[in-house]
Amino acid sequence: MSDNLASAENGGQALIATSWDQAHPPEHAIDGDDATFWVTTGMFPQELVVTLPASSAVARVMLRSVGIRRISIHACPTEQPGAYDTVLPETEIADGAGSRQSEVFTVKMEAVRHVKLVIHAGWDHFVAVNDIRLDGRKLD
Amino acid sequence: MVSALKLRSKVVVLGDSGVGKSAVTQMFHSNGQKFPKNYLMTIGVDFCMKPVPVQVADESRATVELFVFDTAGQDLFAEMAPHYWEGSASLILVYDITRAESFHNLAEWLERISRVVPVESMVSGCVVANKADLRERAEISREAGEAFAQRYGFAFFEASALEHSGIDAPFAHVAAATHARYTDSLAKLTAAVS
Repeated sequence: MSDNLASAENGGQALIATSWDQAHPPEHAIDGDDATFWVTTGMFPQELVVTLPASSAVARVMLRSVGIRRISIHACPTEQPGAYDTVLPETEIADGAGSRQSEVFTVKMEAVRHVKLVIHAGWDHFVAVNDIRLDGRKLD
Repeated sequence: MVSALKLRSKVVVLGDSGVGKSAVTQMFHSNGQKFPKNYLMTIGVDFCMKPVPVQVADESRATVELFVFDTAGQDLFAEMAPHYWEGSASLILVYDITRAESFHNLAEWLERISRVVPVESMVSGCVVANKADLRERAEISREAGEAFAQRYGFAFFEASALEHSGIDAPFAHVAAATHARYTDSLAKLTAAVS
């Protein structure tokens, strides 16, 4: 049984982010609503950390966004965020000419508490993360 | 309470050695307190950050933190500079009105940075005619400077770092352009998902 562990409904939290516009806060990236988004407010890299409610195994990251050019994903197993392992090295995403990007990354996170997205570059100066889904299951 | 919006932008300052790039940057950063009295060639790059408030139509407040990269104009550092230009969103080209060559070289500086960041993708560009305090020795007219700026869609400013006049205007222009671009981007990002 696989759940979207990032969703606020399932206890996911987006507390740490390098950009903050109160109209488009990081919570908008995990609220399950595609029409809302977290926006970056200038310069790269930008980071967003999704904290899971419990140690979990995650097999897929699904990302809906606008304008991201290069992204990497990192996982931290400890309750207090510390050292992160790279689970997706820096990867380029196609432009989509300003329309929405929809990406699925197969990853291997065996026991993860925090998932960090690093946006290394954008196709424009400001980019949006509409929805992050982390497919996996909580460990017992 | 409404919290202020804070944007960030990387700005590069370009131009020949000795035109006053560092003087302009340092006078901007220090609110006119630190004119470099002795000429000290910039080794590679100098960097500073300054928050610049922008006027917003409604009652909310906005600030743009300008991360200013003042790269060396000396050819000696020509290989290093492009590394510092990556990711820049705005451009400030500086020439010395008493040295025609520094004005004619602006096109070359534009070509150099275009190899790293396409100028047309940038948020804003400015041309600064520095050393306006030496107007009687000017080799380049204001009209020539304005015409060059216009050709590239850049804003034109006359400045004297020595007299701390006209220094803040180009940076205020960059901050306002950044905020305008952000507002425009938000509309596009919202439209992309609706």
